[in-house]
Amino acid sequence: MSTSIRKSLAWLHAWAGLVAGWALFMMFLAGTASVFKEEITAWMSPELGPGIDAMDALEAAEARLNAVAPDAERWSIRLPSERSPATRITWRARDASVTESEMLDAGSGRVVAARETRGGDLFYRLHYRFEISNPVRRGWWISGAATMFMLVAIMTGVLTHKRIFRDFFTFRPRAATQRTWLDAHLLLAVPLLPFHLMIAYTGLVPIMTTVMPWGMIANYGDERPLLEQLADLDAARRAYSSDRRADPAAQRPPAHVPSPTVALRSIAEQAAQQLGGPVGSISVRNPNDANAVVEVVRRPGGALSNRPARLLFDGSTGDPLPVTTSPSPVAKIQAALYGMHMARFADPMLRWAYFAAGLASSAMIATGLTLWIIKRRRRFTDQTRIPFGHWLVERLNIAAIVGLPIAMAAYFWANRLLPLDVAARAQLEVRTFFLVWLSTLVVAMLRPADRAWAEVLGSAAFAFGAIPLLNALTTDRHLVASVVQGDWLMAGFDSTMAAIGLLFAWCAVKVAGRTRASAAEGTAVPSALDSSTWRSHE
Amino acid sequence: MIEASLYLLAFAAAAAGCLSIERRHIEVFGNPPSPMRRLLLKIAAWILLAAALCEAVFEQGPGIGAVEWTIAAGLGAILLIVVASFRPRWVPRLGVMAACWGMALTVIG
Repeated sequence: MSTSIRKSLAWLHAWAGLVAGWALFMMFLAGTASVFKEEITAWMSPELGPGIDAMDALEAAEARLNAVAPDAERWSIRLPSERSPATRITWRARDASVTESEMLDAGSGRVVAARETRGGDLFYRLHYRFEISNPVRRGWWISGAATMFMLVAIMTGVLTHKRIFRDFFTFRPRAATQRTWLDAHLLLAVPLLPFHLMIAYTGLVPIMTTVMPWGMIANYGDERPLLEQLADLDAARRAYSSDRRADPAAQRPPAHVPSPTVALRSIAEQAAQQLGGPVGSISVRNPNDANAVVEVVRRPGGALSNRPARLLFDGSTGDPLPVTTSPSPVAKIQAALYGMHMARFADPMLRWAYFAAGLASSAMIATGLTLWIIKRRRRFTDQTRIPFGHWLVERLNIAAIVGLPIAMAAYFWANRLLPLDVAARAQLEVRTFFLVWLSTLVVAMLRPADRAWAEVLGSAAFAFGAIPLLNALTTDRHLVASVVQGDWLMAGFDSTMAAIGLLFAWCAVKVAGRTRASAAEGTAVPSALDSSTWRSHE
Repeated sequence: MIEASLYLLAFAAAAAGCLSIERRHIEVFGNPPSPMRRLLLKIAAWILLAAALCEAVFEQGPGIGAVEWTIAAGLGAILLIVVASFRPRWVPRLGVMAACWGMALTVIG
């Protein structure tokens, strides 16, 4: 490849990476946390204990639903698992527009007063829609655009890398600063290249009805002109999703003839054998009606698809109903790509692998953002005149790369420290998250860059490292107790937080050490990331 | 535990591949590898990777197996490169241990 093309591609790589880098870093880190969405929610609801038998939970849920909504239009029961001790029941009354839900204690069948929290759901929403709720799909557009930048950055990155195979095993931690950062960037990028590509590409699948609606309109559109349909996709979206989801048998209308629905436990036990795996959720349409239909959905696992296998049963007789629709090959591919991104099928080891790979992706973006600064800094010999753009990029780097993790830790702190009966508690937790994130940006802007790096890294080390202690002081499910009881969810969360804290502590010590060393030498380039003591441009 | 063997085999494959690089071989053993040795190391690396793929597909089916193998190969390589950069002499020992454990777990499981 000619040098000038390579140079242009390198330019594109640097700028595509910079423009979308902060958004992508947040998407990757929040997405990585979302791999353990259920576990995070469980940790943030310490009132819900472990060790619940799913079938007992089902009986309790059924009794509760029969008590509160015997003639609802639809019941749904999400059963507990090792990942999530909560049994959640939801129901929608006939002619009602809202769905109501409750969390149950399996032992007593009573409603649990778990603290109000959004748990891991915050990171999940942040991941693909930036916590923007109005208009709902604006966040989809932002994440879709950022993903396109990611794909551009991956392609140009591969093409500009001169010796992608020859340098595969190269990492020189003791080389010059810029070389080491570049090596680290490549170390995180190249071996996991298939993962980065897969995650970026499949990330478009869940939002494709918004960002690439042409195929959907061609197949599910109506008679209106194309531009009108593009402006208002709701009709096509409804037709598309009902075509994918609905089985005619599951949609049958009520007969308005009362007939008690058979015990769900027997249906679930029978279904679990046929599905070849544990039952994840059960829903009943027209409960206690002669036309009741029970749908049993397998817990995700055993297949890539994001639509786990399901079975239908007649609710009043308990007999299986035929599942008549079978998805088209295209729908199957869509479900597999979607599933690959979500990794709901993953067993614990693969889940940790997704988590580790996601962390590597996030770190790849972080090293890329840092490189942008390091590479350009060399151009400035006069240390007092730093362009505003560079000053801003480094500040945003600090707030994104370390500020976001601190905000995540603060969210966990808020979960444990906010009073349980405060109004709008869940929103307060979320507000804490954003306020702390914003405050890291303020700190980054007020302090010299090298100090700011060391200080925020130190804060992150404390914020994460002290979480096991915080948990021990505010609940009775501390690390020792959970290890003794074999409560691996709680123990895993606490020890992961401690490990992340140690990692940040190591970074902080490194950065502070380097700052001190270069200050002792009296050089003009004393920074943490070797990035000089910049002041703002004024 | 059998699933861990996939990750061990991927790490061992990366170790063999790394040692087949002349500069890395010198760092570890103090001398450049003979052409025969280089070839054998390369073959070992590819065989270990293929074994890991078989293991993953056999355990998890072709879909999930391929995904897990891809991630395991990447993570194994990253971990190995970090080890090789800070503690080069550990590479052959850890590589052989990972290969043995990986194969043992596969056979037992």
